[in-house]
Amino acid sequence: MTLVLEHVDKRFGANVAAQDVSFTVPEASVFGLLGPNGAGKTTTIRMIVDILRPDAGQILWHGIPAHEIPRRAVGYMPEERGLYAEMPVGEHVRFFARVRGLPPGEADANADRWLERMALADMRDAKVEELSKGNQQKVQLASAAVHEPSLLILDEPFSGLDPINDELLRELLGELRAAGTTLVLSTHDLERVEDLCDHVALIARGRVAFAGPIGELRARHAELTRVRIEVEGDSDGLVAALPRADVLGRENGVVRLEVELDGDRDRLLETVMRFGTPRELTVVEPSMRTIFLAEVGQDARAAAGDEQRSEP
Amino acid sequence: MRRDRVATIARRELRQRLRSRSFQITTAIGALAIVALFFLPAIGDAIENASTDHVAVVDRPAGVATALQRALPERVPDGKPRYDVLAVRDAAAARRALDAGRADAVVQVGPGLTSATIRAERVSDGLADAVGRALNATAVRERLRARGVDDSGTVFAPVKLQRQSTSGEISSQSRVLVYALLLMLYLTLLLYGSAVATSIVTEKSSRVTEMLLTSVKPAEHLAGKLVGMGAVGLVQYGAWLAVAAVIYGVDQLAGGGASLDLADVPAQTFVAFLGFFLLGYALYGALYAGLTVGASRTEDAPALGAPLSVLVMIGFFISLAALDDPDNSVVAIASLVPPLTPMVMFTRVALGSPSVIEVVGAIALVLATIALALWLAGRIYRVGILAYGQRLGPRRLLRLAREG
Repeated sequence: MTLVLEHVDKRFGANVAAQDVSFTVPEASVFGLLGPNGAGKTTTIRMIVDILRPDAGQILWHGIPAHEIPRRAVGYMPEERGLYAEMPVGEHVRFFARVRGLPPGEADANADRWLERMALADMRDAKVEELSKGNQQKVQLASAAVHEPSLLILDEPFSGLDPINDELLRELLGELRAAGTTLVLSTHDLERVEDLCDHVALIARGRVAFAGPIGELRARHAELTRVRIEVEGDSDGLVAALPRADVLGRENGVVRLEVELDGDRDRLLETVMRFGTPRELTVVEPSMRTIFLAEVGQDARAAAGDEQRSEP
Repeated sequence: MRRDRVATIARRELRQRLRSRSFQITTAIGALAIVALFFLPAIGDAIENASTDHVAVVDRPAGVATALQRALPERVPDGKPRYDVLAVRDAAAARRALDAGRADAVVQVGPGLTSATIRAERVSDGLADAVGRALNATAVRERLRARGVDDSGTVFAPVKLQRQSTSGEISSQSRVLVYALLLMLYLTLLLYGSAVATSIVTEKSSRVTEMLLTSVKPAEHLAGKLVGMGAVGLVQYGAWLAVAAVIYGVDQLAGGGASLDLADVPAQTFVAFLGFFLLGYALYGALYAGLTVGASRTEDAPALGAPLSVLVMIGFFISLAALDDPDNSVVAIASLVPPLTPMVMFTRVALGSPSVIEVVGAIALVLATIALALWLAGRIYRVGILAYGQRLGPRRLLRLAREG
């Protein structure tokens, strides 16, 4: 158990940004911090990287309080990207290595390695502002991770990436994780989480709605699993027998419908067989979006609607 | 506060600034101004003195033309005489020479060498002075000879006058120099104070600071910015000083033709200048940083920093008044007001005679104010550096800082 948040509170005047936030990020995991804009993700992250101090509660990394974590151990890429536009790319990355406390030789070596890894090596002497947007994003990531931290926190890392760089980042995250880096990603892109993260925390309105392994989250919402059936036969009778089913389509005596898997699959199949012959039967796992909405309720849906971005 | 992190930030600031176009341009302009200050008067002279003036002299009484030529020994740089005297028989011949362009001016001496006229299309001051001096010397020489005193060459040996001003009297030369230094101090305090502000707010608005602040404490960031920008100032002054030293050295080797004579300017003026620049910069840099760090956009920084520009300006105007009367009581009081001290006390040290206690006291007050400004700026900075959205004035930020 590496990064632990315990009952963390943070308010700005009357505005509550985080309330009783607790979760645990296991070592070498990819941890997704999910929530709509304004939910408190950025505030939570800023407290982890000790830009902000919590009003109450504590944040521990291997048992060390957040403000005492060695700076070399943590890397952070903010949601709002920022670079020194007029600096040459190589110097830019090296500067961030030096600021994190790497000695000159090591800073040079790490900067070179990251430029190589990001396919930026031949742009070393170009000014940052001369690069394409995608390449600037890569400079940003290289600058955030050049000191090879054991905890790397990325706020909305995928926003604004084209498919090629998206893939590059995905590979890179895989490599970092394999090397033992603990990754915390914040995102409001829920579908993204499913194939990247193994642990998640759902945040809405400054509170944690769920925190734990993604499998556990799924298990909690097994009732949201639905079954899609295509049946040939007495479609009217079948629809009448399954009042909660959504009819997706009907033609020439074939009906396609989706229904909640209320516990027993056999009973559902029995009902179907009474009215016709099933041509297809698929179990549909709930999407992250569905689960998220079930966890945080209508409240969060409203919050997601008005995009508050006033977290200082 | 970790010194290596402050140094890393300061080094980056220094290196980026030195590379920037604006630094190169202001340095070049400053260097040009220094060259101009040294050479403009000399250049004016050189243009006027570069060619030979032909002067037609009506040779009556006989021999006056030869005597005048002897009294005008100046030469132009290529070795020809500066003034070429052409003896003519009478006024008519002189006029013909003038009309034909063989002479630039005509000189006719009155009876007994008590009066003379010089006529030309345009009689320049330089020519009239030279001819006047030569006529005087010639007349005195003639009168002495008439009384039986022979000119053995030593009679007219020039006396070298050395100027030694006591404090009460200020030579116009050192006043010009102090004025130039004061102007420089004023411009650089404004320039570097607001450069600190711009640098911080630009970095903040481009959101680099947020990434930086995970590894660097706000106080370290502030210190790095101030040290870096201050180092830029010193490099710029170093460059200007080098230009001035080279020019002055070359000029001295060439015989001191340039007009500005630094021999009677005490070294303490330059030491005081650098010292008060550093004090002023530290004070205004910290104040600018604290006042403007709440701005989210670069455009907002000047409005927040405006009160400081006014303060610098007040210091400058009081110093201008102090050029004439550096120990006036109003000036003396102003020199003890910390925001005004850097410029006003510099002027007093350079031209007046403040007591040691006054100088030490003023410096101590400035140092204390700098410490206070740094402390306040550090507190405001901690909150302001991450505050986006509304434009936050310093008062609001201080309140936020108190709340934690």
